[in-house]
Amino acid sequence: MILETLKQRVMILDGSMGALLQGRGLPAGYAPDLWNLENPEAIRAVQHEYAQAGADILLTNTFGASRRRLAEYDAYGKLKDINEAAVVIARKAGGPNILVAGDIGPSGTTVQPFGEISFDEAYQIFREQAAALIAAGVDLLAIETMFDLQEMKAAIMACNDVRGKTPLMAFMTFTQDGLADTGTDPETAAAMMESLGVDIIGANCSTGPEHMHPVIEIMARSTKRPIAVQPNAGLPIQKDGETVFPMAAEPMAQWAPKFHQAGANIIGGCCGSTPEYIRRIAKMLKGKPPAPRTYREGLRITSRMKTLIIGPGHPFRILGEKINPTGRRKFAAAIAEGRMDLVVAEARKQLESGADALDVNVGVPLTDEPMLMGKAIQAIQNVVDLPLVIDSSYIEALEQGLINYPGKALVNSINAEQERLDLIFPLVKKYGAAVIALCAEDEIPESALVRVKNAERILKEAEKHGVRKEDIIFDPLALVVSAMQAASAQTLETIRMISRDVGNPTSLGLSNVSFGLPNRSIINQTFLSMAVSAGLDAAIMSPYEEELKQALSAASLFAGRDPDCKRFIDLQTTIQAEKAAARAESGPKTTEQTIYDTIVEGDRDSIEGLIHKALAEGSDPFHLFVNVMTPGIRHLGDLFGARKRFIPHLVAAADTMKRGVAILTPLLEASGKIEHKGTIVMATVKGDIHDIGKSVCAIMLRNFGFSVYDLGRNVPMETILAAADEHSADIIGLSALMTTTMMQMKVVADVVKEKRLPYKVLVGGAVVTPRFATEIGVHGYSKDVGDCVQAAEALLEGRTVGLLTGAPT
Amino acid sequence: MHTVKSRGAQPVVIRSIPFQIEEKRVLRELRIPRLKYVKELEEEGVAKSIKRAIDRAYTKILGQGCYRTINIKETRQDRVTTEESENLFIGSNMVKLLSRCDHATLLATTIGPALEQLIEDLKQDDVADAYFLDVVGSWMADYMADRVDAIVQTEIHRAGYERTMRYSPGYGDWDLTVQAELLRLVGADVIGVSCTETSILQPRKSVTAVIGWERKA
Repeated sequence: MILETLKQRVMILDGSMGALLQGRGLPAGYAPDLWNLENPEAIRAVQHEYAQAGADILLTNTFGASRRRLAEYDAYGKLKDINEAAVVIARKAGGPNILVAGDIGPSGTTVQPFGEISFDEAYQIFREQAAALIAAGVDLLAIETMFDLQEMKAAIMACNDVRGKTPLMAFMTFTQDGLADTGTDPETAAAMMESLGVDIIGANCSTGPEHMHPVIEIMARSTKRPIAVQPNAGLPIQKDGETVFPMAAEPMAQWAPKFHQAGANIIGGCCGSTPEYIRRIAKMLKGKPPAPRTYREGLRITSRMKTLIIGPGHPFRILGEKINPTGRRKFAAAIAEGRMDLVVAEARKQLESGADALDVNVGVPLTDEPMLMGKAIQAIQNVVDLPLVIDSSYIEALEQGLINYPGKALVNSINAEQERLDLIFPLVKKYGAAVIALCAEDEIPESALVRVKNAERILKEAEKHGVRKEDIIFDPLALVVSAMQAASAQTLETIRMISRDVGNPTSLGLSNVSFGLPNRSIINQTFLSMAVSAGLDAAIMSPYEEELKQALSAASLFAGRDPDCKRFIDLQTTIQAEKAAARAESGPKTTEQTIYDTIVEGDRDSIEGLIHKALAEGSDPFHLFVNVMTPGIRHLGDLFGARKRFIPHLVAAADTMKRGVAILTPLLEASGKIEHKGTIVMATVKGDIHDIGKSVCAIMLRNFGFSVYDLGRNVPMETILAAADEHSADIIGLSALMTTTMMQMKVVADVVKEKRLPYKVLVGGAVVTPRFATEIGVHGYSKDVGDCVQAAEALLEGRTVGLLTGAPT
Repeated sequence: MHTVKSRGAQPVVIRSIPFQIEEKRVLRELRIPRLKYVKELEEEGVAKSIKRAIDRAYTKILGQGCYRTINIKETRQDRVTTEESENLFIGSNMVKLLSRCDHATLLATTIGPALEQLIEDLKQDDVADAYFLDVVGSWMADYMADRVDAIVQTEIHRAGYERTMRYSPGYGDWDLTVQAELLRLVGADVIGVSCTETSILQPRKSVTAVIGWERKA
């Protein structure tokens, strides 16, 4: 009934409850829900005021009347009674013409994968309360003030389970920057809520009308469902120990017509709003027809935060195919062990290569695929904010993927077989997903006509299962052209017919077509271009092949998918720039010149091959070390000193030099020509466990001819001095990164001084300063890896280094 | 209607914080000025090493956080006391930070132990890789704190307060030795964060902090 009414006119929702109850004696911090039993008259009085002011819909006083929230007040046992009482009160307050909406607030905790409790636990919490409200006879359910899309999903699914034909309204809450707490944008929230069957979609709380207005504009463009809005009375302030919302009824009410124009069908108020505000907006808007809205057509899938639209007029979408263990031994082994590092790396690489969504297949034989799918979905969405395509032959794996995914996923796939339709459509409906539908039954049809008939049958079955036409993307079947040449060509005709006659978007698995033939790349490129021209909207394909992406980009120009050729031009500009950079780098050089450059550039992957090459060409090892590599690293040091290069360059160069020197060392030792500058014992002091900087210094010192004994970390004074004695050290190098451990440096320095030991003490680390080094009486301070070699060399020459002037030597 | 999730006895726990490793920020942490992308580095070897560190970090980081809001009881000359502890907010910096606050949110975040384990594994033979990974890890530890900070800020604003800056043990005269007390109060064991006797957080790439709820002027 409400849905029919909303087609004709705007409806008015009520305003805030909490502040008005506090005015009637509700103690600060006390749950208003408890007054449904303890002081029902106060609730009734507030709601009666709203009804009198013109509200068409009253929210029950049950925002916190769910399991965990009530348990905070030891009132969980009264959950049913509290919710039931709230409905009775609202009916009494509003009279026969009022609609009573059963209000469901957040669970009071966070939901996995982002949060604490499992999806199922959240679902049960919401189901319990929704069932109580439905049993009490509400006219609709209203989920409100949801911060997180996954929690919203659990709430909607729970309500769907118990509400039958009772309408469902759901509000997401957005901050001043127009996003939900966990980053979801309004378009994504609307798309997800609509696909889960929410009847009225809205935003409430957290912000005043000024910040909520753009949210409503976006939502109204992103769904065909009625829109509801409940802003706060401005941004809150603290006054005399209480939170107050300063916006008065009149300025707040001025926003109501703007919300109406933006597309809102139901308008009310949240925190700080009053019956006076409701009275004013009812006067302005009561009876007004809904404003016209525009809607961007297309199949929508979402990540937690962003929406992707697939369909005519939108760019062609690349669904990255690379998360798939088929034929990949190492990848499959990692998945079988439960390791997701390769899956995550592949997800990142596909994102960086331009994929618009990612197909996720973790089907390794003899593994727990449902568990692995859940794990993979969780791991991927932590690092990549693309919509995901959940790809499995097993319904349990599909379901685990959907449970762990807050957004609106694309399920891969169903076909026209009755068994598969009956198995998977309910899952798609339950989780609000979209689905890829193959235009085949158990046999692959040769002709386009039969495939299109299959598509039409799938749509009929979808309707029976309550799956919307707009959530289905058809796969016209990319067949192996070498085996089924005629049928493969019919795929293009199928695309044309579905686009023209059925009206749904299409997608296919591209790589199939070229299987078994040489030069697969050109076949894939040609077929893709032809398919784009026939109307194909997306493909499961590799995002790594540059030529394929270029062909796609060019084909899109003729398919209405690249207005003003902008994307094509941008792509070509990037490619030309990369080619120019590559050309600038090349030029004839000797091997020794290349070694020098490789060290300066810190290219550790190339150095070993180059050293071997130089030796094979007859270069003397000592000459290479002294006249090529050492000048290279010193030149880099000069560049560092001139602030043209930075510490990362030093670190990369040090590692590069180390790898080169490792090849030369046996040859230098055999020739007796190895230079020994001095001996240094290094340690991170007792109680401290940081040592990366020290390890880098150790390499740099070795590169410059020092013998370095690195004792590791958390090293007591006695061990340091024993090692210095054992190795006849010239220098003791100490590292500390904490204010709680740096005094250990003084312990070492004091013993060296008292016992007149022959070592120079050099200190460094993030918390160490020249002042500290001077005060504890060491011989040198090294700021970072950039000057540790010069510092050590200075100490060998008998100088102090890095200390404040006037320090004793 | 809104609620303040974090003002209970239990912390609010966030189990998997989605993240993106911004190359610009990593380059800044490496003190390489003026560049936004790793590919802008002329030195291909250095660029490859940094990219490798970033790619590895994606496979090793599991961001988690927890936060809890406690009530300020009294401001004294040398400390600010709460209902839960008299010995947490000690020092003149804490008095300056919290004297106009009614509440304070304690938070702890971590990127987990896997990345630092990889650093240990790399240190022997691949010190440069270990170094770059360490820098990425340090930045991402701060990043996770930023993510939780943003959620806490939303709660603060919703309740009509302004936030103070985020302040960690070891800043100013807020002694590092309060670390254990802070971790206890925020319930950081639930995300696997503890500290050594010398107040070093474990896993090392973790952050603890406080944000005050300041009354609006």
